[in-house]
Amino acid sequence: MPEPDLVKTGIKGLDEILFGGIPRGNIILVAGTAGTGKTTLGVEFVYRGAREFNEPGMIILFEVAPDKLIRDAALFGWDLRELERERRLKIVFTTRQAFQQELLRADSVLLAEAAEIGARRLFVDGLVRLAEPNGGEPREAFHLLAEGLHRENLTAMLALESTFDHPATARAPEEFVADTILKLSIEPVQRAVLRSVEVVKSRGHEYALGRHSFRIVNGHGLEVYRRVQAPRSSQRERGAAFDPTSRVTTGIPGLDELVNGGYFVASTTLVVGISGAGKSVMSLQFIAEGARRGERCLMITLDEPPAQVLRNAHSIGIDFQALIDKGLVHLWYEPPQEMEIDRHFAQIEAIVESFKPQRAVIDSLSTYGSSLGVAERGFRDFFHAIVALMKEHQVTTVYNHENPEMLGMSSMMGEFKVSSLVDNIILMNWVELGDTFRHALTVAKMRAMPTSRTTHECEIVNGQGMRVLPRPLTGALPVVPFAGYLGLISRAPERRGQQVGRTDP
Amino acid sequence: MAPKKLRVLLDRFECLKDPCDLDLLLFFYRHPRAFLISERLAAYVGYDRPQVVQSLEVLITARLLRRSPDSTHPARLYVLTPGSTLGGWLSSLLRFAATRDGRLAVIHALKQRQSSRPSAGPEAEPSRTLEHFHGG
Repeated sequence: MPEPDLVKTGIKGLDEILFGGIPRGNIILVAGTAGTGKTTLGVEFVYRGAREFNEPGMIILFEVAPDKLIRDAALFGWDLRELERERRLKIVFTTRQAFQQELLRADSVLLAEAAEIGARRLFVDGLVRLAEPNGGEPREAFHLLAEGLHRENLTAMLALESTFDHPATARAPEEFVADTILKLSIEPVQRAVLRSVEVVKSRGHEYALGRHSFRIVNGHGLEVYRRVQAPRSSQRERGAAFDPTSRVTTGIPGLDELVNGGYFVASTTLVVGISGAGKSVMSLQFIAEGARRGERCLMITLDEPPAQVLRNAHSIGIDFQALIDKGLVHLWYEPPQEMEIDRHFAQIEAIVESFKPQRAVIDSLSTYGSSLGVAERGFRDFFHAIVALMKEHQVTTVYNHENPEMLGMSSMMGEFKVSSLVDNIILMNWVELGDTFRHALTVAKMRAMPTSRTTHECEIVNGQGMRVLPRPLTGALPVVPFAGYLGLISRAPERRGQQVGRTDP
Repeated sequence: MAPKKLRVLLDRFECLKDPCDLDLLLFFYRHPRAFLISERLAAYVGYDRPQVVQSLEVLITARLLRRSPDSTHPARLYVLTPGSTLGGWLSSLLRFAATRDGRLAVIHALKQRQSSRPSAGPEAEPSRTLEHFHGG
């Protein structure tokens, strides 16, 4: 089967969800209400075509004065005047009626103007529902318009003003005639707004379904972020299998012995505990250990800004800045307020693909939960996607998760129902002995490895960090079989009056 | 811009006589390539159509504006084509006239220029082409 001749839009992230571009000659309808970014998208389509793909273009305007369009484009770094001087762009101001009448003529002046510079792309801004010249249907009028554009083999993008937010209930007749429909939306999320683009249809090729987020970025233009849930390459799913022979040391003295020499390469480890239980300290040591071994390490922090992370590391004797300067550590901080999850994930993907870390820490999962909400699928889908990303790139990853329970835990993850997705779970607890809370660590889950699930004491020493204390117990400890207890599944089993004891060998 | 400097600038555009000439030029400065019917153009600039048609002829004759030749089309394509020698002067004039005060100053200067000339009927008016002003 021949490969379709795809026109790349050149818009960051958009060609990815269009699986390479839009078939040449397609009539593209960009639908959306006012302020959704239709003009920016269309102008960028023509600008990138002329600048990056040697495809001259024409822009047709009905209401916006060309000088304002040129001024606004300059904010994105697009010099439209220069393109005009180079005869790679023409901007024509006209009326809808004149445009519609003209395109019906075989000797169209407008299309002749486009042909004069060898235009391959056309953007028409501000189209509204067309009136059929002889009182016919708007759908027929649009069809005639499309035929006029087809004659010139132009890939035309038409921005259609839409007053409806739900096109399923109010489909414009133009949508049935157009070959490709990009629907732009802007919706409130809490008190912020989120822009999204959806490929409603596109004849002649495959594309990623669903609504993908995008931003309009000053100095650049549109940036489209594929929705987190969209399937990636099958390679990513295959990456879930990890090498059972290689281990990644934890960097915590005493912990490696409890996890059979370290975590598996590309495994997913969850460190769960209340604030102050030592999760971040463990993370810093995990990263520093990797750097000491010459591995590239990525630390993603949502809770603490970089200066605070550096200070924390310094307090346990780690010169984090030096590791960053050596290029061994990449510290990336994103404040969690109003997080756009598609964009956030795209940024992580870009970092992982360019920096190629071998270890990573994400601090913390609970902050994602606060931003995305744990009740809906958003959080779980995001976590699934990030676990798959890290496994594909064989990154051994530790996720911190704050459990609000101070003493003991009634559940490992609370409302965060993701423990089935992780390979290892380490519980960090407070244990109150006398008048002191002491650090306790339990390896609760090690996928494909044996674990004792014994609780160990830890300590965090200023200037040195955390270590798991040795268990100095020697000799025999009485081990009471299950039959010696009542209410084993409850959180407070009681010993039977008469012990049925046995002794450790 | 000082009145004297403005007069010197306007001397390079002796074809401009009527405020409509200037307003059309300003319109085409903002819309350098416009495909319109003359009625719509008249509505955009706010003059009667006959006045606009006359001013269009002035600008086209002076080669400041190009118009698509095929008159069988209802709309015509107008392209601002500042001559190579006058391009810089035209930009200076239109940038100045792009503000309210600037436009009023230019219109005032045009009226002054008209009134200071010996009266003559339109038939006696010399050809308003740039060649004429260049001595061509």
